[in-house]
Amino acid sequence: MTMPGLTFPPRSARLGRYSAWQSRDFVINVAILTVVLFALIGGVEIMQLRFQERVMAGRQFQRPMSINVKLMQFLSIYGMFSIVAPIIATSGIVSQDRTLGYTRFLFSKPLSVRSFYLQSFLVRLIGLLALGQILVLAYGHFEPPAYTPRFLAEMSISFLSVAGVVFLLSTVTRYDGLLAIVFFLLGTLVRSRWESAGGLGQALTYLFPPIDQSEQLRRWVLGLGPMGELISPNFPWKVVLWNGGYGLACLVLGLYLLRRIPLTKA
Amino acid sequence: MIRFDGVSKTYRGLLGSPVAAVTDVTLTLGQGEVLGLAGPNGAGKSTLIGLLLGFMPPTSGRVTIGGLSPRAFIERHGVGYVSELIAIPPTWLMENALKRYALLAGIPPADVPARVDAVIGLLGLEPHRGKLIKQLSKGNLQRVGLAQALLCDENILILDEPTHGLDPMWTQRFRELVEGLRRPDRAILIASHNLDELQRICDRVAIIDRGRLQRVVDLSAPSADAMAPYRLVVRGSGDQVMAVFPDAQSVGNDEYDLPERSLEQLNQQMAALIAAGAMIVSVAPAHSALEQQFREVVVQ
Repeated sequence: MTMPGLTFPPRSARLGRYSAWQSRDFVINVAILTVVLFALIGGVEIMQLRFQERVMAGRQFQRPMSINVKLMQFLSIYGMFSIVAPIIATSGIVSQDRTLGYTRFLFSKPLSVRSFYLQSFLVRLIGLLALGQILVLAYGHFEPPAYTPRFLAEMSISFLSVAGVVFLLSTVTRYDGLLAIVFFLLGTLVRSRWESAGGLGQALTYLFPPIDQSEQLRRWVLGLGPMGELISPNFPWKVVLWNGGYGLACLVLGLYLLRRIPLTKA
Repeated sequence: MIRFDGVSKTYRGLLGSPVAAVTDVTLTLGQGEVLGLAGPNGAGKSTLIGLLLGFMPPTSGRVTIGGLSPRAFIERHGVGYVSELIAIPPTWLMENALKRYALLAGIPPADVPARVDAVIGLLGLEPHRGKLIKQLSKGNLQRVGLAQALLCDENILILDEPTHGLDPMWTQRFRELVEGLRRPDRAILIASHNLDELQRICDRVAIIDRGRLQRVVDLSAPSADAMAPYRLVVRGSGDQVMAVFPDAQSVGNDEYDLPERSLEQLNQQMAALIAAGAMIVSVAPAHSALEQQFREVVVQ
């Protein structure tokens, strides 16, 4: 309730228009680095494939390199993009503003903290999806796979799974990117060691999302079986729900915490 | 308009020990008023401002703006705020930084260029329009901080060390600006180390020390019987001065310290001094009223 006699016209930030500035920040701070990094990795991969084909042709192999071998090679870069790119894109999303004091001017404006960072998260999601499609199309111009909308689905789910965790960490620590890498590596280690062990060890595995199993989703996109055979795999619902749900829960918890944490460092 | 009701804020130290930054502060700031916040370093001024902006919750007590919690008020109305440390991403262009803040301040996109031009002109930032934030000097950066606070016609202005880093010309210009910002429906809070500045600008000054509100000084004109020490400067009239002011102490260069006396007594003695034919250069309070009260309450 406002004080009687006081009239303040409500105002609100033009957050939608501000997304253009957030997009620009994404391009400058994330997109250029990501494109350069993965264009280099992809370029090297394509050159390696071409080199191997020339070697095989020189040894008078009759058959060209099979498509599933090429897809298996692509799978490793693709997996790297799905996990590393969201970490690059969202690292410091909240913590940088808090640590460097940028929150002071931002949040003296008629602006909801949650809306601002949720929009920032969505801009990074859309930006990275666009970037991912461009990189896949560019790669597909030289070598398989051909583009399919399934890439969009996989990258959306992977972004939510990984970036959700980074977002939560970013609300509580400035070392969010580094801790996210440690978290996922630790999760992979715990799962590989105790997933089938039973007891407390197995219970521990449920604390971590099965990011190591997210390759099932990428195999679904590429149409690759567990042994690299060309098949039409079923959609891995369990892994998607686990990873996506975990990331979404982290995002929601992070948004909740934004109302609880100090907006500036004391 | 702004109320602190028994507000305390305690931080946890590195080893978990409590550190009281602000203790039991009760203070109000009404519409049309300019309130100063004075205190030595670490007194709790910036913590109070952080609480007022809702950047952190109080440990106990309540802060309200217009009857709402600070975040609720700011998210609905916004405030003009200049922080002690001007933190703007260094790779932003100065003009673009103001355009961004203008959008976030709720200015309609079509009006943004005009508003940005207006504050750039007001604060003399035209030559720096195309510079990166990291290329600006401390004084210019401070002016950008002021500019972003003045983008929108805010009813509440919170200025934390607003003249920090400004040169004398812009410090003076800032005082004129604040005078121009006075409005019956606007409340202005200024935290500063500079007592002279607060004395010139504010209606009241709250003196904070060791996290506690020590005193609120009303800076309206002093009453005729208020006691204060003065400094008198004459031109070669030492004997006459000592005759009229037997308690005066010479401090050299024809200057004399006059111990505490009322304004009425001072005027009578000054009339006698002039009648005695002394050449008076100036007479002024030895300390400003604020400085005097500050000295009384702040333990060195």
